[in-house]
Amino acid sequence: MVDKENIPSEEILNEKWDKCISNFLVKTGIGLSVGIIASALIFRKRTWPIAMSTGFGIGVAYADCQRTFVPTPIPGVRIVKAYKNIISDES
Amino acid sequence: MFNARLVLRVRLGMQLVQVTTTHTHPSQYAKPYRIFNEGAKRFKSKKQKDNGNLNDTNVDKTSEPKIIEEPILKDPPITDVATSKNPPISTTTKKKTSGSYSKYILMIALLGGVCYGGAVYHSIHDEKFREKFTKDVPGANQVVEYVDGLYKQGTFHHLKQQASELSAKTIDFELDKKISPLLTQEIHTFTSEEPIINELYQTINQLASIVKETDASSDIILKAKEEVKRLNDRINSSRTEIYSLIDAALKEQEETFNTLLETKKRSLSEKLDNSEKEKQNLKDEFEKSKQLLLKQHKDLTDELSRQAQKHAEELRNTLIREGVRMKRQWIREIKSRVEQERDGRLANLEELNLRLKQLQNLSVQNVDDLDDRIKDLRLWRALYALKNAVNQPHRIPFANEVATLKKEASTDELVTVVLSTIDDSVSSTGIESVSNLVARFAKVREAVRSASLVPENGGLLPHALSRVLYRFMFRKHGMMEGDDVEAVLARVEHHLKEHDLDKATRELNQLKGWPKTITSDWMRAARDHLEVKQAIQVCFLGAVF
Repeated sequence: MVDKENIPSEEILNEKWDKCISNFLVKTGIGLSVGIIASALIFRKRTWPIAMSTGFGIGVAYADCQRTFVPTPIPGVRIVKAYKNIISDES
Repeated sequence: MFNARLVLRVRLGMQLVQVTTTHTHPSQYAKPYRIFNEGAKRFKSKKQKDNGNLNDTNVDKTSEPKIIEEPILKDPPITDVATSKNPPISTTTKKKTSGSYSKYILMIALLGGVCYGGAVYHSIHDEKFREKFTKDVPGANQVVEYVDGLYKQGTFHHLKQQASELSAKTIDFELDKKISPLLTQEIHTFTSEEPIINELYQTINQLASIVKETDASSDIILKAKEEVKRLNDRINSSRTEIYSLIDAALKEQEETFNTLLETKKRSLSEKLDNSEKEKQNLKDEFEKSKQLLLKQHKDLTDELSRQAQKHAEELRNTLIREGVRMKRQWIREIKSRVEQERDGRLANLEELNLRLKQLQNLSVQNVDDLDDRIKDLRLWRALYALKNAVNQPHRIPFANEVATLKKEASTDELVTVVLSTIDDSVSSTGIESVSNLVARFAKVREAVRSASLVPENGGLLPHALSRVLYRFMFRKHGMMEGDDVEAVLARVEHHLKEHDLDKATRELNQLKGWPKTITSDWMRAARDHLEVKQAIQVCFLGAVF
């Protein structure tokens, strides 16, 4: 995570966009590369493992971007460790 | 006979005269006498021839003839001259032979001599005659002068006396010794006023003695004596006559002269008297006027002095009076003045006291005021320093200024309270200037615009859409109405253009969602700025009041 304190408020969105794009590129690249390797090794040079792994990558990136832009946590998804700490602190 | 006697007499007299004169003064003036002298000498020599040695002895015996003869013998040059010069003498020598003719000449000579002598003698006494005589007769001037000198010297008189004495002596002597008692008596009794006669008489006596010795008859001698006496008488009578005549004439003349003199004297004396009188009068007048003037002067001076004295006294009196008066006045005045002054002083003192108190108060107040002023001044200085720091175009920390201001305004509650509102972080970092904020707002505005279309809790897609689409949206300017983001931004821009940061922040505060988060930083900076500015303003106000 990027340090929010040192970034002025008007640059927050730009920062988020920078992270999203880089995240997308990296994860797409990783999916494509994984599909190519899997098609070449396992699936005898078929095209669909490549497209599927790339899609996975794009999907992961998208999910991440969505999280960055909407930081509101969705209940049930996140492991709530902090909860325990709070309760323990309260108790 | 008579003639012969006369001649003899005359000769004798002349000889005697000659003796007297030559004895004293053997000079040229003895000329007439010398003639007779000569005559006498011849006569004597003749006699000697007649008498032989007898005469010589006789002469030697007597002292008298010596005296007579001595001067004659002593003067041989004179006799020589006389003999050589005078022919009449030679005539006289021829007298015996020639008779009456020679006698006549002798007479004339004698007369002339006598006249000459008389004239000389008279000229001594008579001035007029002397003038005439000296003018007319040759050689008379010298003779007269000489005789006059002799006469004036008194030699004549002296000689006369001497001669008379001598004659008297000799007569006495001779008569006592050689002549008979009768003769001596006669001779003795005979005295004449004329010395010449005396002398003659003496010679006669001498002759008598000679005759006596030669035993001649005393008849002749007696006769001669008688003759001499008669001659004496005659001479006396004639002399007295002449004397009387002369006296009368003299008296007459004297009278006339006296009268003349008297008249002259009188007139002169009168004149003198007159002049004297006049003089006296003048003198008197002068004296009088002098006196009068003196008196007047004196009077005037007296008057002056008196007046001066009076005036001086008056002056002194007035001076004293005036002095006393002035003294009194002064004293009075001084008294009044002193009292006045005293009152004035007292009043002044009270006033002074009051004023002093006032002054004290004032000074105390002044000190307080001054302290206040100093405090205020320091506060102001601190405030100005703060303001200066705040108003800098760049961000400058002003923590020190704030600290000093806090220290200075420790007594001012308001300032302390206000200053306490300023955050330490703000003071240590400083605040953004208005220009900086405006410049930053431009960036902030673009960011806000890019996120303006994103709804609340929008995901990736709305963000991406907003980011693409905001480029196609129109910008709004000026005081726009509406709650949309563009309108708000336009109003903020407008306020910022008018340097109204407060209103701009208020407008910007209306935003919600992503735009609000985006502008949060700017908003904070603007708020800090506004807060500090407001605090300073309040501090100024607090410092002023």
